[in-house]
Amino acid sequence: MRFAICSLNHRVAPLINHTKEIIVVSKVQKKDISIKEIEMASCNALEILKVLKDNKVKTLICGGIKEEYSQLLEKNNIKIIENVIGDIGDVIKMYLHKNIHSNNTKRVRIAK
Amino acid sequence: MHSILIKVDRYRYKMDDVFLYLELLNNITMGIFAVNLDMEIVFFNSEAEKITGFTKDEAMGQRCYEIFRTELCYKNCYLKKAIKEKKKFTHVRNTILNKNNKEIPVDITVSPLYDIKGKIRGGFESFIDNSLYVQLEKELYKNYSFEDVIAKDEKMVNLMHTLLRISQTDIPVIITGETGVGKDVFASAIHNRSNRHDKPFIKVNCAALPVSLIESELFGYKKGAFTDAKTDKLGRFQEANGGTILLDEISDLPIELQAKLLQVLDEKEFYPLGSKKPIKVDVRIISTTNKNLKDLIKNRLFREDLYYRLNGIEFEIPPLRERRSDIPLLIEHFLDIFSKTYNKTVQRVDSNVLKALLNHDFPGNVRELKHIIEFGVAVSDNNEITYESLPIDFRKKTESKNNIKDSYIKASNSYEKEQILNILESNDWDIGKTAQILNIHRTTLWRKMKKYGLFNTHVA
Repeated sequence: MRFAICSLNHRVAPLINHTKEIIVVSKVQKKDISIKEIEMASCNALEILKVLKDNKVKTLICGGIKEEYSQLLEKNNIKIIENVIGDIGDVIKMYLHKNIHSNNTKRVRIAK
Repeated sequence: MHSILIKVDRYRYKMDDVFLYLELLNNITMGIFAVNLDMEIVFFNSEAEKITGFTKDEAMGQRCYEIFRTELCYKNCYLKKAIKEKKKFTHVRNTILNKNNKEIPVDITVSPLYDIKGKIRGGFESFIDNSLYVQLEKELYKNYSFEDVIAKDEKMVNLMHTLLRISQTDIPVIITGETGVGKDVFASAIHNRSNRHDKPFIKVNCAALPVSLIESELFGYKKGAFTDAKTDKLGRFQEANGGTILLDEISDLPIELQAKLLQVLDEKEFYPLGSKKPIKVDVRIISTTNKNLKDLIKNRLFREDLYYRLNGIEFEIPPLRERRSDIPLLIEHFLDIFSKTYNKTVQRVDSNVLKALLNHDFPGNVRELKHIIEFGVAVSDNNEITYESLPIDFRKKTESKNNIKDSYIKASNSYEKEQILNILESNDWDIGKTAQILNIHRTTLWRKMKKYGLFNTHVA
């Protein structure tokens, strides 16, 4: 299982075009998880697509996503889980526990 | 209710009064939310739910910038500024991304929020949906972006991706397509996405200018260049310096001026009328036409060398009839715009209207569809456009098309009936033989005979 999250200041970037880092999470075995942080110099749709393709990512978790980004990513068979809000750690945990789905977008509340 | 509000002591709120205020804020037709000093939402009214698409339950406790998702949030947040500077800012224009990821232009007013002791507790923002105003402004100034192109059709999506790539270059572009497909929307979008977006975007309609004026309009003139030239006049190319010039209907540019345009493209300079000093310009050229330039070249009406200089990339916007899957999307878009324009709540078209629109060929393309929906919304009495509320011209066209289709069906039915009858009669009503000659199955022949009422009464 491999997915990526658009991140800004350790939280899901509210807007995909404000992404500072793309966090690529790979679950190799039951408990082995590797996390790769890719810094983004610019985050236009093509740059993001390139990073996802280079890292063989098929699912992207993000906050708000503008049409031009979603169209390009969907056209390249990237599944988008949009409108997610929260801390990167919480989001990873929730996705691995199958608590975030693309057809029933779930928002992640901050643990206070 | 009003008298109670007026009598309320500013500093002594009773619980009933608080509920009253909350009720008031919830029923106001303006989005309102409040945040604490951590920018977490502590109040979110019903109109805010409507505009953002997020429910109160979803928004409460979240950081405002994660709900409103604007470009200003990180760079220049006015709410933060209001809290920090203890100042009110009114009518700031911004664009939020709602829950459906649609951009909604808003007009915001922000101010700090004090407690009864006068200590700042957070901030307060009111906002209204400014879509209609922005739409009207766009129409007026022809200032569009790619987000204004409503399309899901694969051809259009591919086209937009190509344009996104080339918009940041200085490649000259030719946009072709039938009238009403939105060539100028694309041209404006390319400019607004380019590195020249903060520089002028000048549109010249080559077909609308008299031949005698085109040269002075494009290249300007010096004082005294001709009798009425009392002062120097800047040409459109000079006005567009640093930005983009749109040569609309380039095919109508007189052949003698095409040479001068070629000079601008080759040498990036030109001579205004009456001037001996060349003017240097840095302009990106976008040309549009609904004619076939290659045909014009064959007929020596358009210079081939100019065509190749203008044609860094040429693309054609497909007519609406070739991307019918975009029709429902465009209907929805125009319903939204015109419902706001005419202050109505028309949300859909009935199934007959949808069928008629999907079958229509739209010679006037998107512009024609836009006018049909505008008419429908304007005359509609409820929340649906019915067939009767469509423009008479459109209904006539649809009905005559249906009549032609009906008469064709009738004609082919009558031909088939006659053919079956002839073969049946010449074969003494032998079903097997007739089916064999017609190359159809016996049961199919029986069905057709039943349909046309063909029975051998003599045998019976």
